[in-house]
Amino acid sequence: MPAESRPTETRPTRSRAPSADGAANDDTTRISPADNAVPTAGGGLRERTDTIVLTKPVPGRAVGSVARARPGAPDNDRVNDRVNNRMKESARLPDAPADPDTIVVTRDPVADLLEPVTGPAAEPVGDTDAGRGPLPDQRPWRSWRPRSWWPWRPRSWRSRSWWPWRRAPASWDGPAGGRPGGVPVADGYPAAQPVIAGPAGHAPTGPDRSRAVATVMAAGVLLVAVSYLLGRRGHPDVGTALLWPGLITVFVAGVTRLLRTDTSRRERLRVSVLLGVGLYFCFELTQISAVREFDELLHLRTLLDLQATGGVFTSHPGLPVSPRFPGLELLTNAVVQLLGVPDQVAVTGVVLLARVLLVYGLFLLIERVSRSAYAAGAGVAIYACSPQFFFFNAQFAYQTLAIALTVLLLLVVVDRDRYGRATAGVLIVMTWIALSLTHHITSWITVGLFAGWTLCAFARRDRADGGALARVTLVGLVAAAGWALVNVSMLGDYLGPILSESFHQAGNVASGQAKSRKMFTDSAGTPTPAWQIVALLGSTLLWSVSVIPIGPFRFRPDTDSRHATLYRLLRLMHLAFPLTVIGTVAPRTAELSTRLSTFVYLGIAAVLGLTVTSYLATRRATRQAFRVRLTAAFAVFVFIGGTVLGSGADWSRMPGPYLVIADGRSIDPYVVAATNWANTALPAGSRIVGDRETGVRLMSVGRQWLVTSLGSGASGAPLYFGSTFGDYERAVMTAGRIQYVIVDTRLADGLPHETFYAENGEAPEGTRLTAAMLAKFDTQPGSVKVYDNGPVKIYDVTALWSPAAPATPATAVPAAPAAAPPATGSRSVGGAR
Amino acid sequence: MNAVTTVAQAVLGTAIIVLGVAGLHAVLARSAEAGSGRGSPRGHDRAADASRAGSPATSQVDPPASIAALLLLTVTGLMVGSLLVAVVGLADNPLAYDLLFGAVAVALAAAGGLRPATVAARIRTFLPRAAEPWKPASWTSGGWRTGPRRAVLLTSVPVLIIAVAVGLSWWSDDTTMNAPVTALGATRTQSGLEVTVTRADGDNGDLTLEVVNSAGRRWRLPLAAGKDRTDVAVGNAAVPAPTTIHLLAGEKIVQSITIP
Repeated sequence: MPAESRPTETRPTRSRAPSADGAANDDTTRISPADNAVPTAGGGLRERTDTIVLTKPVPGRAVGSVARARPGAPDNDRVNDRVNNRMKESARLPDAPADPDTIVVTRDPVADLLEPVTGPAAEPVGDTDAGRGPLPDQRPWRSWRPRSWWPWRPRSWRSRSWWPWRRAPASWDGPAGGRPGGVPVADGYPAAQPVIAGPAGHAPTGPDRSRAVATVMAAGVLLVAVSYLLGRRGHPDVGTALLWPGLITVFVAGVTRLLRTDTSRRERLRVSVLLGVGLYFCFELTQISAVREFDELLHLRTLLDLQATGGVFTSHPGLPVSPRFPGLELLTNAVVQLLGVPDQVAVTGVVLLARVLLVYGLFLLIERVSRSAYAAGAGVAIYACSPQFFFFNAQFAYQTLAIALTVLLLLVVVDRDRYGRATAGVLIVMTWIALSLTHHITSWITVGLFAGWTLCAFARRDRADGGALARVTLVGLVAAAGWALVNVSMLGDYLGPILSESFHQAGNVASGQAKSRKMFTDSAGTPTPAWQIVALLGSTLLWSVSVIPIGPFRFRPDTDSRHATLYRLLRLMHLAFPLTVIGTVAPRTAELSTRLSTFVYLGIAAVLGLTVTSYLATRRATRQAFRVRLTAAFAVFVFIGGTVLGSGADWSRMPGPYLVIADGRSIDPYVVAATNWANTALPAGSRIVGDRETGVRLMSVGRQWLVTSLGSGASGAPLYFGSTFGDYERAVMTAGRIQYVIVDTRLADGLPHETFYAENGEAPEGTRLTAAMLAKFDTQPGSVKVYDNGPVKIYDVTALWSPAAPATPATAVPAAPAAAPPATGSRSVGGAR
Repeated sequence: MNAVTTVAQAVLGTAIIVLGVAGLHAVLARSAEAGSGRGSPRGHDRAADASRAGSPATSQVDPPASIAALLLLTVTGLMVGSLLVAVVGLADNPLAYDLLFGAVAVALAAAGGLRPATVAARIRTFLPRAAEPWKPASWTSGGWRTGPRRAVLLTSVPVLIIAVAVGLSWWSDDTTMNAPVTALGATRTQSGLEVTVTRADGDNGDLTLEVVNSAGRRWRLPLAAGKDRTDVAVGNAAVPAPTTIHLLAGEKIVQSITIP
């Protein structure tokens, strides 16, 4: 059978015979014979304290964990090759006499610590030479301790009389389900080799169900769309009741296929991408006609500035660093200008592209590390359970694109030898430039990842790999650190307070000076439903337990020698998961830890993808289906927990009636009407003060300059918190040269759902706005109401400045729209700063 | 941009992107061929690569890897190119993007060996082959199972469902967010005030504007149904500022603004 041929549906569902010419099915990602070779001669493996003595190759004793040669040996891979060659020779000649040589290999203490390589990758080999390869009942995993259940025993042992608690000998044949009777035997050893479904055992014998999966996922998305429709019609509770079944439908449709052992590699890849895209649509449908999440509006402002001014690196009132890291907006603007599509279409398309790149790259990356499409698919499913996958990393924000670039950069570096020096160099340099231009923190973390990877390679004494990785890291360091140095003051203003506040809050909690933040309720007091708390805590507990090598997490599949280095790094990221849990004690640290989880889950996805699939694929066939279902149920559980953790309360996921300071739920027709009026009636760049939601929308879509302490050095938020208008308010207005104040009278309806009304630190925590505080602008002489749609009012307050205030560069009375084109207005405001 | 310009821009932009991606793919393919001809550049991997010879681990996984490189270079290329355009201040000009990326696409196609004659020949070869399964003669029962009709039909089902979901959400989101509200705004113009009135669905034709000046004089301006802007002349001496404007529904003041 040629290597390019496809599997047919007429094949046995769980096993296949080797082809005549030895070529494997192309849907199977295999490892080398050396990696997966299983010698068939008897033998033993002795363990000493830190050495392994291989006297003869032993079934089930792969040497993939050999990480360091005996003293004097120059290179691990050479040792591995030597060992593997011996094993290959032995495998080719099952009845060959035992190798008299003894190979002593020192175990790598780091490898033991991180446990990356205590089992084989167990890719379905489909080997090229008949008569060698894994035994029909080989368990594609290993342990350093002898297993009493090791299946390769004399046939008489495998009778029911010997093992009465086992149903039938056939069940010993592993997930492949092949019976020993069906395997040709030569000299007491199997001559033919059915492919078993190991971690990579995606024996592509099942029919391709990707279209059916897509249909089920689409039905789930439609259910989600209906739930949002109900929410918009004023029934958010009913909508929420429908939302979760829709989300779970999308997730389960993908996970059930990804966890099956007989799914082909191509289908796994398709389903992985479909899973990412389906969940993206589930989020995006909440705001499909216009973005309205807080972070998205900030980046939309950068995009609109790019289009209005034609230039880059403009001033930004709400997030000054955003125009300095404009990769996402540059890409979106390229799509807008090249294709002539509206901004919203380009925004949706670019984020969708980023999602596809992320999922696609993650699949290939895990596959490279594990040599297993099975593990890769499971890894993608695990990453879909991460807190930020459904919500934050589906938004039009720079991290969304940056995390995809990070994953692809890792993939390119893993694959660098396949591209050739020049192509790989261009790919790596271009990606580093794009990453450095896209997101500051992600680029720095990526540099850290590569530095860690380099160190791991040098720790393995793989100087060639370490040197190459060091060069890649150096390029990234130059790009990321260089660009950060250019913007160091701006980054300091932005990140400095966040970090210092995080340390301060964490220190207070640790020293007992402050209580940890209130869990399971938002700042307005809206409680999280009990079942969501159970899922959240349960998923956190499960991820925490997964760090400990017990139970199903005990199996650590093998990786090949070089990729083991990256695997160790990913394992370290996995081990960092408890940090994200500890970080939730204080508000600021919780924000940081949630952001950190985006990267930690890369390690979790890779490591647990391998581990879980090893566990599933090495069970008896009769119980495997049950374990797959059980694992899928756990997956749904952790998916709910992760989604709740990342997206917050129900109101954040469901459109519906207005809520006080609640992201998209605070953007309603009144806010839209006020924005539209301001966009046409007020000069672009007028200095305004508004609440967190209305203000940022007027800043973004309305093209006004929202006065914030970050972007203007003065905050207008305190204006809201006085019942009367006094000198303090005048001073605030004068300092911020505030021209217009936007008042939404509904702010008095309750506490904000998102921590603060207008700006962080505006008032003591728990301070609630009252109607009298908001009504003072109606009665204050000099305050002129220029717009009123009922809840939302806009006041011209220029006349309220202190008498000694300098003249404002803008007109006090709104002029005609034609008098101030947006581009000019924006530039003048930027210059005025 | 009018519709014709929009369509022309979309067609041109699509052609540029397709040509650029095709050229990039050809360049990558050439590079890969050259690389494979030279063998593995790193002796360190030679043994491992040799052991994998003929294995799908290398032979079958490479195409997706190439796609990953293609996607990555496309995205980063668009980003860096857009940065170059923006640095010179032309990020608002579609023509600048067309010129830059068009030139890059042509260069890539040339570097990848995509000659027009070659492409045309490939298309001429490809089209009959692609059309063959669609001919009725090949539409047998077996052809139905394996042919493209069934595949297209099955693929179209989730696409249609997604399209319905997106359309439904877009309609409901757009109509909800842009629902008209009764609002009153005013800005000073050269001749007086421009008053903007938007109406909620329930306000049909019974709205009246009442203008009050600082001297206490007031007069009313009926608002025609469907009209959302009204000019109020206040620029003469008879109408001193400030001016208060009420929006009346019947005799009830619905909204009120004051212009100095």
